[in-house]
Amino acid sequence: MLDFTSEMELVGNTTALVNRLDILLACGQLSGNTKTIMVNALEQLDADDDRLMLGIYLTMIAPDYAILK
Amino acid sequence: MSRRKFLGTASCAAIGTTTFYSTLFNLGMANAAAGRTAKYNINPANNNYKALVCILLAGGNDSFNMLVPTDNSAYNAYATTRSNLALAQNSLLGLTPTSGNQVPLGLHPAMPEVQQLFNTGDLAFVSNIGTLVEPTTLTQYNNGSANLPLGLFSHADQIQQWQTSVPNNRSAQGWGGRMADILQAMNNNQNISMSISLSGRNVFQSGNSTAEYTIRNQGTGSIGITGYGESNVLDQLRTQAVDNLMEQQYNDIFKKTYADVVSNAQDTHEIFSAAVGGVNLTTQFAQSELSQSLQMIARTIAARNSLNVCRQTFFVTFGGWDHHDELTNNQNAMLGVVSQALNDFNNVMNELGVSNDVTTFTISDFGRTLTSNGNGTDHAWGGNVMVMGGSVNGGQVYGTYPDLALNSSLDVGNGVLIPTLSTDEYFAELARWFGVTDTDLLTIFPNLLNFYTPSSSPPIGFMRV
Repeated sequence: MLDFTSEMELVGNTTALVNRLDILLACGQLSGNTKTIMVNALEQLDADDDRLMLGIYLTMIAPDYAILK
Repeated sequence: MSRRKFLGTASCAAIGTTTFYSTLFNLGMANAAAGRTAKYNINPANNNYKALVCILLAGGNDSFNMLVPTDNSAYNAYATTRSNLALAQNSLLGLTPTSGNQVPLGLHPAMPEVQQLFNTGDLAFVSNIGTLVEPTTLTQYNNGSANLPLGLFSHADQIQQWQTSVPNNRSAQGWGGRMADILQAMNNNQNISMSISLSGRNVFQSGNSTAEYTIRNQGTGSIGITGYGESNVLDQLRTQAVDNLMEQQYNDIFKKTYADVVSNAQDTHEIFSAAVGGVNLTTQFAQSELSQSLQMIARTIAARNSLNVCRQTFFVTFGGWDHHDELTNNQNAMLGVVSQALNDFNNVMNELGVSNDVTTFTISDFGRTLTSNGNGTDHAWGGNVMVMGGSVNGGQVYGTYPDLALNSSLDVGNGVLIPTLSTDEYFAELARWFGVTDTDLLTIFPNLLNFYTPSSSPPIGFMRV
């Protein structure tokens, strides 16, 4: 089981959450545009674990994440 | 705007990346392919559907225990050579060939369905076939004067060469891929590759500008993004966000390609699953992975009009044939699986009325040593393969079934036999039936002229004209 306790604490702030996922998973590779798209999607969800799950999902399917530089 | 011009000049991103890679490098390929396909009649009304189904028995099937001599003299040689691995003479399933001048042969007892398919003319064997750069004699093999396949007796090389048919080169580009590079344009539907795989990435279907579309043998076969297009709130957000991510402009060519592949894979999945989802077959299939994969192939073939295609190749792997150990038990089970699966598939092709349009053929890394290592056999060279379909001149064993006594004129040691037919001749016959021109045969099979000069006569003769 993966431990996302720290990340769950950020679900109330979509920008902070996305920035956190960027560093945690994507080594800071997510572009500004990518993060804007993610924040816009997460904003439409309640501040709970759905936000975290969708945030992780979008990070990992994003081209900025998938391609290692 | 003709289709030809579109293919040649449009940005590759507009075309499904399973057909053309989204890179500038391959725009040149698109132009070349568009020009060459001009001579293939692209009017679908005139192009009856044809499909080739390739079954790879990975590991090296001991095919001289699949196809076995039955008359006393030849059987005794077989039994002497194969010692404790020889099948009992009275257990062999007799084959009734349609022409008289053949060595009497029988089948492994686990293959009654194949016996029936052979005796009713739906299936043929091709004997003592293997990878060859050029015709090779024992003398040439021993004195080093023949060009031999690279990595002879190595799984990695041989399994690749059975898919490339270029044994003097380690380029991992398959003849199915080279064929698809040329013939892909025959299909109206350019969103799905004509090469469909039930076993993931493979060399056979790797071309210069084409690659396989991979499906699985469950559900509707194709695989899409989880939750994409679903109606609940979370999935709607997911769908919108994924679209936004993939529609961004990426300067990096890898990101751009990845985004195109993801988008196109989803688009293709939607088309594919809608087409195949509407198919209902009554033929029953066994539960083995091989039968289930052939069932998915059959459903795809059944959906050919919805998919709007007239040429397809299918690839499926059945692994585990490297029987250095426990040959007898393993072949008993596994040849039974193959026999039942081929029968299932033949039945469903008849159900669909496309038996004449679909040809199934087997390949394998190599045959195995005729001698026993105690409990099994080791890597060899020449072996026997099967080809099945309504357009096959079945009920025959093509090629020359070899003498199985040790130290024969083909034996390089331990009953490793030099093939007397090449994979080039086998595959060229299939490609000819599939519609490849004589000129393109030489492109697809660069060594072909060492064995056969394209003409109105076929290389071997197992396909009905």
